[in-house]
Amino acid sequence: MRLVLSDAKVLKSIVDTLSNLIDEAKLVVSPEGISLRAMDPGHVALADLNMSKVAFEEYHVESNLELGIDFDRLNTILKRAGSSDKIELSLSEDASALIITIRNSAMRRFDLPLIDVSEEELRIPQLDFLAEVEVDPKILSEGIKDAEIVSDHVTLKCDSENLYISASGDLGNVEVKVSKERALNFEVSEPCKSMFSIEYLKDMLKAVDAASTIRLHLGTDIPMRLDFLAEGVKLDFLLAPRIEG
Amino acid sequence: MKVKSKVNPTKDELIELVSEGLRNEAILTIFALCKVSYDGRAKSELGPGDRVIMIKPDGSFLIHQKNKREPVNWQPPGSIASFEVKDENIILKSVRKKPREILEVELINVYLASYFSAEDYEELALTGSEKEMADLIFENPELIEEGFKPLSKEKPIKHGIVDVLGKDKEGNIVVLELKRRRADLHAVSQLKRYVDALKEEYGKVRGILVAPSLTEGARKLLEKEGLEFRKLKPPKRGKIKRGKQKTLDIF
Repeated sequence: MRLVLSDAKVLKSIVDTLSNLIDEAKLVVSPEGISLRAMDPGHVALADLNMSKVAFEEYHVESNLELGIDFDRLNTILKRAGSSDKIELSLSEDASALIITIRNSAMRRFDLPLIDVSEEELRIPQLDFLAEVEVDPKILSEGIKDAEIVSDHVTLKCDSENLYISASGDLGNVEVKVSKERALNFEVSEPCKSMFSIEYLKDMLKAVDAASTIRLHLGTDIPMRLDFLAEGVKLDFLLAPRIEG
Repeated sequence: MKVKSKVNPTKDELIELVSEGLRNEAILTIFALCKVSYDGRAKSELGPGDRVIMIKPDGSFLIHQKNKREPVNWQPPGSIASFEVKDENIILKSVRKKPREILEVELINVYLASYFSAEDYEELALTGSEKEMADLIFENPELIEEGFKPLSKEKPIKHGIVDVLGKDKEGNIVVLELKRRRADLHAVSQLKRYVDALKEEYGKVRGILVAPSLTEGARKLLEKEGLEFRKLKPPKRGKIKRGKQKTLDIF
C-alpha cells in the first residue's frame, strides 16, 4: 500500500476533526479509495468519510485492507506536519503499523502501531430532511462561534427565505440570518428547526479547512447531516438533536 | 452498623461484609492483592499488586496504588457496583452504561475489608436547585399536600438546619428535607434527626422527604421510621430552553 498526498492540509483537518469525536476506528483501504464510518462513544455523532483515489497524488493499493487506527495518536503525529508538507502513508513489512512519512526539508518517518478495533454494528438512521442548504463553510462556522458567546446550544432554522442560526442565554441573544441568495443551493420543502449542542458542532466544523463547501440537511427535531465536500473527499456527519421536554 | 472491618477475612466473611456494606449504602474500603481489568473505549490490564479499593454509595469506584495522588483506575458516580464469585476468588465489578465501561477487580488476597456508613450533614446552605425547590414549594404549597402551610426556610435547629418548616391542615408541625437528586439512606437519617429534635418541643411532628426519587434502602427506612415521601423534581432553570441531548439510536 502506498498513498501520497501532495499536501497535508486536508488530511490534517479531517483527522483533527475525527479525533475529537472518536478515539479509534477502522480505516478501510480499497483500490478505489479509503473510507471510515464511526460513532462517538455517546452515540450522538456519526462520521462517514470517503476519500477517493483521485484525492491523492499517488495511490497504490493492491487489495482491501482494514486498519485499526488510534485517532488521538494519528492526530498527534499529523500535527507535526505543516499544511503544505507532502504526506505518504504505507504499511510496515509485517503489516503491524501504519507508516506516516512527512516530507519537507527532511524525511520524517513515524510508525503508528495498528490496533484491534471492536466491531460495532452501526445503524445509520433513515431521515426525511425538510431542508438542504449549501453554503460557504465559513458562514456556518462563524455563525456557530457567534452563538457560542451566549449559549452551549444553538437552534438551526430554515424557512423559504433564510437559514437562521440562533442562541439565547443569560448574557443575551444571538441570531445569524443567511438569506437564500447567499447560499450556493437552497431547497426548503417545509420550514423546520432543530436544536444542537455547540460542543459537537464545533468539533465537526474543524473540518472547515478541508472543505470548499458544506451541505446542511435539516428537519424538525431530527438529527442534522453536515456534508463537507472537497476534491475527491466526502466527509458526512450526523448529529443527534437536543429536544425539549 | 456504623463501621465494620475484618482483617484477613475468609471468603464467606468477605462476601458478608461486602454485601452488607453495599446494602447499607456505606463506603467500602478493601486492602487487597488484586488484578484489575478494564474494558471500555480502550482495554487495559493491571497485573497482581497490593492496592486500596474504595467503593462509594453513589457508585464512585477507585483503585489506588501505593504512590501518586490519582487512582490508577476508577469509575465515576452513577456506575453500578456489584460482586461475583469466581472459583475461589471474589471479583468486584463496576459497570457504566454510557459510554460502556466495565472495571473488574479480582481479589486474590484480601488483607482488610471494611465498610463505613458515613453521614455528612455539612450541607448547611440550600444549594442551587434545592433553594429553587424551596421557592417552588412556598409558591405552590399544594405540591406537598392540600392545606400545607410553609412557615420558614433554612431554619436552624439543634442538630442542623431544616430546609422547610411548616404546618399541615391539622396544625401539626411538618419538616421537609429537600434533595435535588435521588435521596438515599443518609437523607432519611437526616430527616429523622430533625423530626426527633422537634418532637421534644412540639409533640406530633411529621417528616416528609421531598426529592425526585428514592433509593430502595431509603424507601424501606422511611416506612420503618414512619416518615413520608413526596416526589418533586427541581424546577428547570428559567426561560433558557436547554433541551435534552438525544442519541442517534432513537431515530
